[in-house]
Amino acid sequence: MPYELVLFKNIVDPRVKEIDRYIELGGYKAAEKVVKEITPKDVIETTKATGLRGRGGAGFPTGLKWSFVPKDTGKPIYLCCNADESEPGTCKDRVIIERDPHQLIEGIIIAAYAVDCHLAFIYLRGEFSLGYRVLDKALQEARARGFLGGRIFGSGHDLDIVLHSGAGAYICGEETGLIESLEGKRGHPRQKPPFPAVQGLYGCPTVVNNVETLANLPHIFNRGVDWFKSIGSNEKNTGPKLYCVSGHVNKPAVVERELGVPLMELINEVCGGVRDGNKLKGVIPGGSSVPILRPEECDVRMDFDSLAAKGTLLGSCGVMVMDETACMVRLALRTARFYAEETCGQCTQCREGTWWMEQVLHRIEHGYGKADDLRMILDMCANMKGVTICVLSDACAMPVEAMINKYREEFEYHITQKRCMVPAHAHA
Amino acid sequence: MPKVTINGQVYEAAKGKTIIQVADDIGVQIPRYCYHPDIGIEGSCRMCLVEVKSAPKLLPACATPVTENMDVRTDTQRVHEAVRYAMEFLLLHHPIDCPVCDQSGECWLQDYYMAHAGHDSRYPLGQKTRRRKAFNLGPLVKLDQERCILCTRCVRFTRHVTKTNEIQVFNRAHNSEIGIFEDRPLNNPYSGNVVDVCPVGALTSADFRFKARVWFLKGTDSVCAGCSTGCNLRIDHTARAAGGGIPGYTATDGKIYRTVGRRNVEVNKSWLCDEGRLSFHTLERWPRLRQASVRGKQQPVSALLPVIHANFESVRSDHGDDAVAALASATNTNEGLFLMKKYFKGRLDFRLGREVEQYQQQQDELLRRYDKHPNTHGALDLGLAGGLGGLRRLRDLAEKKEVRGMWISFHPQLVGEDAPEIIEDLKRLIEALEWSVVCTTHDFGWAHEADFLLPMAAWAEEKGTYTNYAGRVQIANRAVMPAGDAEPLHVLMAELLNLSGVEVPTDPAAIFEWIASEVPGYGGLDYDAIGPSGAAVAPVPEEVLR
Repeated sequence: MPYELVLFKNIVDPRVKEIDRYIELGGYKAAEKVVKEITPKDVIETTKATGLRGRGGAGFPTGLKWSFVPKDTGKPIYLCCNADESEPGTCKDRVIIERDPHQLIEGIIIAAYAVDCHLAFIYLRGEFSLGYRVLDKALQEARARGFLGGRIFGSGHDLDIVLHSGAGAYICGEETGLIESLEGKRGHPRQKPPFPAVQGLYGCPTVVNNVETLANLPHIFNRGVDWFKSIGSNEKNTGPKLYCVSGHVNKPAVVERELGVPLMELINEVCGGVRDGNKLKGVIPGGSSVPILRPEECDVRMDFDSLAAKGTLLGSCGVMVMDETACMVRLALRTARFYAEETCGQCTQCREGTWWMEQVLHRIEHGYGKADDLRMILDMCANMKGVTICVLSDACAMPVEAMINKYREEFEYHITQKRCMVPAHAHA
Repeated sequence: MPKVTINGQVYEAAKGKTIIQVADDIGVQIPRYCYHPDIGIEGSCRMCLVEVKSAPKLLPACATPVTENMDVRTDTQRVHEAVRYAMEFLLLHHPIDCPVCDQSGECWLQDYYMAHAGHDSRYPLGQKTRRRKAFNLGPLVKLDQERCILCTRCVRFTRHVTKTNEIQVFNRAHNSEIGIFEDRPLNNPYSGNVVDVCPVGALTSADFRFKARVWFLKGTDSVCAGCSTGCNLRIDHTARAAGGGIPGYTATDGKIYRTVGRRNVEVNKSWLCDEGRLSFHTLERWPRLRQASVRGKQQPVSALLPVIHANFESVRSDHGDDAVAALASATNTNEGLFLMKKYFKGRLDFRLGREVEQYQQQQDELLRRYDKHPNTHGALDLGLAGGLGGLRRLRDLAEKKEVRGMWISFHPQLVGEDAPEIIEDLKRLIEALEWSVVCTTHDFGWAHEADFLLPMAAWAEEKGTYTNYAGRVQIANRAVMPAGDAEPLHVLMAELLNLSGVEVPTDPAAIFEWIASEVPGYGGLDYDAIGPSGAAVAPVPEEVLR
């Protein structure tokens, strides 16, 4: 049975950005129904029942996250939509924002209603200038229709959405970094606990949800829990999922399939296989911060639990495919360089470790590696994990550690032979 | 009260406290850089990681509140490893310039390296990141960016304590560095505290820099005498006694090199204002009065006191008791003032200007107060604001010849200038008196007009108590010996009282016991009860203030 598109159903329609067309295709019905007919408690319960897990990377159950918000603090409750999509290899939220913004806005309305939020924020990645214009216009249209503002859909619920453009820092996609940035401070992640659900934006209870997570909500309330649960690999991994397949495949693309699609099916059938008929060398399944999979490990379903069993993570679903022409040392260097550049510089291990790691990898890549270097990097990796405020440090250590452990011969070749094992890079 | 187990020992901890606070209370050492009890929690240095049973990751002790039945371990292999690697990361780009670093000897990098790390550097020395060294952040503070470990204590000090925000973190990642905006130097009145809070050699004091190695200095706990707030501080000095001294220098009487804020949550938290911090320099501002003299002729103090006593007695017998009076200084200790009151039978005053109006008035929101005398409250408690009406009134009385012989003790303000009109009034007072004794710390020109000139020990040269603006009695200790023949006021007064037939101890602790037995509000107190952080006394009664 061919997969029926949900999130991307209307993505090819250039007019769906306009509110009239979106409504014509059945849009805002779910939001209206939720706001007028369902109690917030039931919205949370329904979402819990679907098993929807956060699409930002950690895979935390969305309904459960909402239920942590204390209702009796007397403080306002905020909802932040995390649209600071910056994980290398990931470009799924961008498609929703630029092509189908009302789907996101409708999702925000439902989520905001569920947690009793009257002011929601969209923290948009600074580089998404087209996305900013599209979303801004969409928000204006929604306000003009009375879907946002006071007494939305003629109900008793008030809600407005503030669109905020970031300034191009990866770390502001970390939820507490995002909150700090939104408050106008440096994007330094906060120590947790207290979690944002208890003490977030301006010290008030705050829910931070990913764009894709929110975009799922209208469909859930249009088509029901059972329909949602029928998609996906098992009870705990349900619903549609966007995959951003890039790298050495014939047809790199952002595609939608059920959560838990087999990885090889994604590469071979959806994306046309490894380019030029080359041999597969490795796949990073969830964006640059997750451990790489060797070809023999690639027989895996793309869901949270199956990948965890393989020692990696679904992350943000940025599937990066490497064929035999890829140099793993160069890949490790590029990865470490990204994190050395993007660490906020708050915690010791992350600030110094990422930089040091990049330097050592740099000298290995360029033929100046020393015999002890690999041991030193693994040593660093072991001591960068799990000791910092946020997981950026882990996000640097985990993939590099996996690359060294799984492709150790390449690194050793670089150190001993002073050149690359991959013929295409042999001059390096 | 949650029960917490730390390293196998069960403790009761107050609710809401963090692990590091509990550990500090019970004396378990947890290494830390960014955590400081008086500035907000940051949790970024990752040195205070501890193992908590039930938590999969190591937790930062500074940011984790204790909960019921929490089982904390600070001594496991995992914790040691984490601290050791945190140290390696912190020291990666450290320039290792300890031999020329002012912090050396009191540097937390040195201490924790020896205690927890001890590794060989795996980073090539020549490739370490070079940064700006030794440039001024403000008049009192110099920054060395290479030594900075980005604990952001200074940043948070200017953010949360002074709320002036001069120091900031600039750039990101490995390029992060502490700095100031080009046109906004660190010149707030509390800037020196960033040197105190800096755990490493990044921020050093322009005033103390390169003056002495800290291991040659001896620290004496004391109280600032710069204003009526009475901030707690530590005086770092060379000493005549064993335990200090710079080889090759024979500073026999000791010399004060710097003062450092000492934590007292009730008074000044950990802070000092810059004026107070540098107030010890005021003692060097004029030449010290080292010897006693009679109308210009030098005499030993011991020979002079009987003469002074005899003179007071003869004025009393010739012109009545009221013809003798004294002017005290609110920079003297309670002990000195109390004996002075005894000797002059209550005919004394201490008000030079507007002390009583001002001593509780805040000059800013933090510490400074307008009254620049440390013991105005104490003088009021002792009942020194009697019917004499202060300096100006005494001057009038002297000019009307109602007062003929006077003792004037004068200690210059350690912060700011004594008002010129006060000096003018003092001059006129001395001129109008038939006979006067000036007992002072420095060789002031105007004091030579007096018949008798006595050298008095200054602040930091005598032990005694001050009562601060809020009625907190605190001990100021002797750090250095008085200049020349100078004696503390309480010693001089004890001798005079002895001459008049009253047996008086010269030990300040014994004098304080006498105060406690007589002065309302001080009952039950002694030096042990006051301790290093002071004790509150009952407020000054309203009628005394009037």
